[in-house]
Amino acid sequence: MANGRNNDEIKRLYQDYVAKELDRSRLLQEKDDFLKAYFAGWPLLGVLQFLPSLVLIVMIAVLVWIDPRILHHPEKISTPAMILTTREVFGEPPPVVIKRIVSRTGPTLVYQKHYEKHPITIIWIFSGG
Amino acid sequence: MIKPWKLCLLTMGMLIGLTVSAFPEDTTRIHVTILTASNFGSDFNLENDAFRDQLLNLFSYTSYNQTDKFFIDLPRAKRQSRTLPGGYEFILTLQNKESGRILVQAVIRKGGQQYVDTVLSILNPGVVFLGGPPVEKGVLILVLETGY
Repeated sequence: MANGRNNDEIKRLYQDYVAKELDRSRLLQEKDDFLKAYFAGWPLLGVLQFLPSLVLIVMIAVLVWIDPRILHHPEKISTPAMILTTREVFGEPPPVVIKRIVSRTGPTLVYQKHYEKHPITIIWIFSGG
Repeated sequence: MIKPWKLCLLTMGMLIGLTVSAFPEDTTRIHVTILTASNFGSDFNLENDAFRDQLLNLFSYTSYNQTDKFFIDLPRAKRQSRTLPGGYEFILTLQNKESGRILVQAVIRKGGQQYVDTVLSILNPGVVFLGGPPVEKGVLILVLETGY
């Protein structure tokens, strides 16, 4: 009987102790203090900090609504881009035609340029190749 | 005594013969200008001011010096050689001439090394810039002009 009464006493003391330790208000306060010490608080603007992102999303949505093709692959071009050849730039026939070019020292470069109605042909030899 | 009309005919014949021999039909004259281009300084030593603008447009060198210029008369199928600065040899050969175009072979070589061997069909008048062989403090640029 005495042991039973002691056990109850101990049990009651233990429950009081745990109850005090798990005091909700104190626990919540300590939790908040911990979070403030180690984590950034909620910004002053709150939800408004996401406003620029929201504006961008809305703009993209508007663009897609206006022209959905921007989300699609571009259409294939059936006619390739026109590149003016020397004949078209300088007229028939080309002013200078390179029949053959050989260099033992390195690569060569040949290009023609339209300069004030007088087409000029440049042949350049790169040495050390 | 030779009769006057025979003498006149003989004189005319001689004059025509001399004219034809002085300007053979298959001879082409090419004007060659030799330039040295470099990035040392900013000198423009050119007799022909028209080259200045062309060189500025075509190349990125800062200095151009004209070292020589000459005419080369090219008879058909005969090599004409000239010495260039830096010990180079420049050889031109007229291979053909027809329909307002000339077919010319241009060779630049030094010692036993051939820098370029090219065959060009040029419409008269025409301009060709041939460049790249290195010389002291720069490179050579040859300006070939035909029909001017």
